[in-house]
Amino acid sequence: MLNTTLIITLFLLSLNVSAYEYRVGIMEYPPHAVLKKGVPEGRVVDYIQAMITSQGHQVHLFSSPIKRALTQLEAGNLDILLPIEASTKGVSTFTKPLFKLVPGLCFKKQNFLPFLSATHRFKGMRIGHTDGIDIAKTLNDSGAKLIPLKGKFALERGMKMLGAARYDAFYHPNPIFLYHKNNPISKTIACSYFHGLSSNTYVAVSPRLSNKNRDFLEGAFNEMMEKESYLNFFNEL
Amino acid sequence: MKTLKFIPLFLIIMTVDVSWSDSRYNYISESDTETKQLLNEMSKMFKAAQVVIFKNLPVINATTSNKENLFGDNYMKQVEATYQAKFKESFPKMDHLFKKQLVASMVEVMDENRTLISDTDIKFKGLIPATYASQLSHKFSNLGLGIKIKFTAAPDLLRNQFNAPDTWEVNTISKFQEKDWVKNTAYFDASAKLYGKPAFRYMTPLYHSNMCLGCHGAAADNVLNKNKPEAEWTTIDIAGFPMEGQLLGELGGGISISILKKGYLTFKEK
Repeated sequence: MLNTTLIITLFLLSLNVSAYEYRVGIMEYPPHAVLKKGVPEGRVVDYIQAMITSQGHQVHLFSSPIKRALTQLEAGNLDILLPIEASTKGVSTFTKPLFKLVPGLCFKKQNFLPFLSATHRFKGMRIGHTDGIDIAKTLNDSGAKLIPLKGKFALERGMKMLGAARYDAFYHPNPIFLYHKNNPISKTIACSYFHGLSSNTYVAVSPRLSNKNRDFLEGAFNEMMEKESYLNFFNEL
Repeated sequence: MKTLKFIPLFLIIMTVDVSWSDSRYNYISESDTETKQLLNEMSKMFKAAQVVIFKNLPVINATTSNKENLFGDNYMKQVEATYQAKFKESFPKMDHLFKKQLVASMVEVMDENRTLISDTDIKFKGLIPATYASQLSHKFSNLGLGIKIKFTAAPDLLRNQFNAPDTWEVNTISKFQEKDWVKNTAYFDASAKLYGKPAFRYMTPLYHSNMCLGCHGAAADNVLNKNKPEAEWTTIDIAGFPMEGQLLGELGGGISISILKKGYLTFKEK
């Protein structure tokens, strides 16, 4: 009887059914992830938690400035870190991006221009942008009057000024997360995109994570993205 | 007691970590013929998706919000049906990662345009076959799979600088313009280069159909001139570009697909 119990116990213990706690680093990346009293919140957090917990595992969230977070990832103190822009050097990521960044212009709906490749139409337009931001070359060279907006919350203020017709358009680094059905501003403003200027954001993976865990996480991520892309998940707010 | 003797062996068996391999892939090389077939199918999938956009222009531009046929599985059903009708063959089997990802990208591009498509205030949304093709190309090419798709044209016909052809593409378009080039024949190059690295390259010519002439044709084709007297016609199209005056059936550009050989030659999805 004792032998049978021991064998059954050993057998059960050997099965990989125990919940694993994944250490997930979250970068502050508004509006996707923000820190509230040091705790990361936002749709990116909800998405990654849903992905891991739906597989029966647990999530331990961490947040710190980018340099420290990357060091922690490298040292294996974090299993994954997100969102990470494609320009971040020296990190290994899942193949599929979490979401893409595409800069664009936002207009009052009555002045909407759907084709930003027709850059000759920008000539003489007053286009606002947050000060210090990289502006697409195609816009810089277009003959538009580019007006930098300084100070805090420049993007939010810029949108209000656009609504008040102080600008003909406002340059946004990623308007897809502004112009969506659940944002009331989309009732009066519409945005179009410089599609050729897209770049991706990714989930970075620790080089110290075992192949098995890495493949598990990437498989879960791909499965989640197939069921519902992060973009759709974000827009469901 | 007898059973206990086997416990150490049992423990060893259970703790051996089976060496990891990615079961999604067969580690074999693809032949030129298989690659050409794959690229041919992908080009046709791309074209079919463009046609679906054209057919749905009234729906896309309608100022109503219920347009579920343009998204997800409903959208792909339309692409599959269009593919079958246009090419008189079944929609390709999803037996290759690239084809699967192309389909996923098609759906994602529509999702990314959902807010605009559903906007009940904007009458002309600007989602036309050409802009869809451009968006799809950029999206798919940024997946990091070592494969690029470009919707491109000869430099004198190019409208979007982000779709500018490279030297190989310029030369291939020139081939398409030669008198003895058999119309609708794609060009496959198994020993080409992309960014200086060995690559398979494939380009299929695109000839202007009615869906293109509204912008690329003559003033008479311009949708902005509809129901207007000829004296008021404009040769600036709805996108704000001067119309090129091209004719039905004339070469407009091509779909260029390139696969870097490094990486590609080491896997093929089962």
